[in-house]
Amino acid sequence: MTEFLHPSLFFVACAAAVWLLPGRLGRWLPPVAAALAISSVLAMQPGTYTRFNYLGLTLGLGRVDALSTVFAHVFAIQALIGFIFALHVEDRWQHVATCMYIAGAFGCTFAEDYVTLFIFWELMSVASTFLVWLRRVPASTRAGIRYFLFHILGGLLLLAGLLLRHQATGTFAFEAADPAAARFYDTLIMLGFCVNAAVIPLHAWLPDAYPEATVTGAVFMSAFTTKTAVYVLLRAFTGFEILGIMGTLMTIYGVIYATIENNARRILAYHIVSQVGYMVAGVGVGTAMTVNGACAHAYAHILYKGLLFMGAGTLLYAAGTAKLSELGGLYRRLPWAFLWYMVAAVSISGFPLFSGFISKTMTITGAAEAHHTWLALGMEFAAVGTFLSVGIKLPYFAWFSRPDPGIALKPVPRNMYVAMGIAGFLCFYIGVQPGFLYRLLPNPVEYIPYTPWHVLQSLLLLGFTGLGFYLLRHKLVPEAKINLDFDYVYRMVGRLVVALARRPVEQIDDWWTEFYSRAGLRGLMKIAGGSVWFDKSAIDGVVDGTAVGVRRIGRTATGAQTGRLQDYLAAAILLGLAVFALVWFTG
Amino acid sequence: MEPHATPSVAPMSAPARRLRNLFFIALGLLVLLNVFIHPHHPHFGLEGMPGFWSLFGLAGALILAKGAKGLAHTILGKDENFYEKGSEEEGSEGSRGQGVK
Repeated sequence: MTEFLHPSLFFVACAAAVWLLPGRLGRWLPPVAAALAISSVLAMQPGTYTRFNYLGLTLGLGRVDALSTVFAHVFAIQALIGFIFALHVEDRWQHVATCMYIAGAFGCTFAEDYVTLFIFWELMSVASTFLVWLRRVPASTRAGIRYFLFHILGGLLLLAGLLLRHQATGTFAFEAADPAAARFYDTLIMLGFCVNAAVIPLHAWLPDAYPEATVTGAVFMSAFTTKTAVYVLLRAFTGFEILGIMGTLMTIYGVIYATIENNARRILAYHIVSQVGYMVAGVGVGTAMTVNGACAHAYAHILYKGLLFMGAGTLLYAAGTAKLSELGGLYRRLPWAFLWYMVAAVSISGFPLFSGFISKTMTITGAAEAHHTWLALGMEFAAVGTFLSVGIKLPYFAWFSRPDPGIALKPVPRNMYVAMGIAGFLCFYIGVQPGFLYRLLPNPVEYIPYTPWHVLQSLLLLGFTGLGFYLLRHKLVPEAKINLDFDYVYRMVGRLVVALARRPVEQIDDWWTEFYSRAGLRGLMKIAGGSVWFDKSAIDGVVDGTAVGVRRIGRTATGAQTGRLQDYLAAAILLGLAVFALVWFTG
Repeated sequence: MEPHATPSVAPMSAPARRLRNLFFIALGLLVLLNVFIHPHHPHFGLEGMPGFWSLFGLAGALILAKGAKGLAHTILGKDENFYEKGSEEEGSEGSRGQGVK
């Protein structure tokens, strides 16, 4: 047992401590928990740990192998960077929610069976919803509800799949499925995973919710939810061809929206869809090289995407808006944010010397060598779009493009810059020392990124993308608009359900009132007084309450979420998990 | 085309213009290098042609920018309060931001 200390332990303990400790002391604990998690990941030896029997099931929380280690490695590092970035946040609930969220991510990473996976999967959904709600503005309340509902849908797909699978095979073991003999339950499980991996058209929750999350919450969410999903896809569905195609479509879909979006954080959210597309495509192609590519890209992506969200978050924190149409000319007043943002931007674009170059090209080359030429070309096209929108458009319109409009800026806490510096350094370090990352990958690496041809090809591609931007820079001016996406569908379905449900519920209420006034008053009054009391306060209350509730579903929910309810919910979940963790880890 | 009251892209200053010229020269040099440096085993026929990836990058950027903006100006782009408008009062969705082009 000494070789394996589950990193989730540190974060669960930290969440409890932050919750209980008085005053502002708690803020300093999460980075400590993250540092402990890093050391425990570094000390891990491959093997299976923490197995126990519960209700006749064998559950395993500690599967340590090359695949889980590479994800745990970067999760732990990003947790530390993110918590340094969030050090100034005084709202303790944000720290509690973040800790539980990260505990969920580690739990999924080391889960050996689907039951364990499902529990931690749902923990991530709940905790991350709070990272949206805790921004405490009406838009984020609404976005959080949509986010949560959609993740419940994903969770139910996963649950249905794993139960059907258990019915058919008698096991909950979380193992690779056979692409040649995929069953219906495999499809359900894969769909559940695809919700979290933001595979189109199940992706709309991501660009809907992430831009509404707290400044620091978005940094964490960009790292853990989608990459945990990539990990479980790698574990179970490597070689499923459909994922190769969907992944490539994701890469292109994301950059199309990123090109026309106005909100900087929404641009970055669409780029998560795009970048996760490379990983999903790597899973789908399924050769040793593309699996390596998917892992390497997940590792690099977590670091630079977190840094991008830190840069855009700094804009939002300082200027009060992340809309490009309201920014511009800020390079004199926010030079450090610009510098670190650009390090991440050249990393995501795949410039030589930065991390994206050594990971993205691996997936693309792998796809080409597996004779998926069209997929490789699609991904190259998306690389053009990535540099166009995140590498040039966003920074150009946020920091340059016109004279400083003179927005009043809030001073930026120093810890935010420290976190950006660490992330920026790692993006560069991995770019020049690819061996550091390649050693962690599950398969032996034969790919050499720094050949004259690879470097020249990247520079040609990106250089001429720059020329394209130069020619069309007037055309690409951001506009103060939003763009329809698939969330339109479920928003409309939601409204339709409310509209449809309202009529019958109101009808029943009318009938009941009618019945009550005729039969009720005469008939029921003769029965004991207790029954009348029950009618009046309980039944009528329930029915009326339902009708009113349905009628005002948006507003009621809004009131409930921004009020005390979230505190109670958080407390209840935390308490439940503490009990659960005690049973789990000591059992 | 866009009815912006103030130009959102400032005209280029002299140093910016010098930088741009340097950029053009660098692009030319890269294409020149491509004549001498080839992929060892091209994954498809065209990849061996000098300048293929520069054309791909330029064409990709132009197609993406034109195409995406075209989508935004026709079916995708809506007023910023598009969804809020609908949720306050259903039935008053007649005035969606269609005229805004």
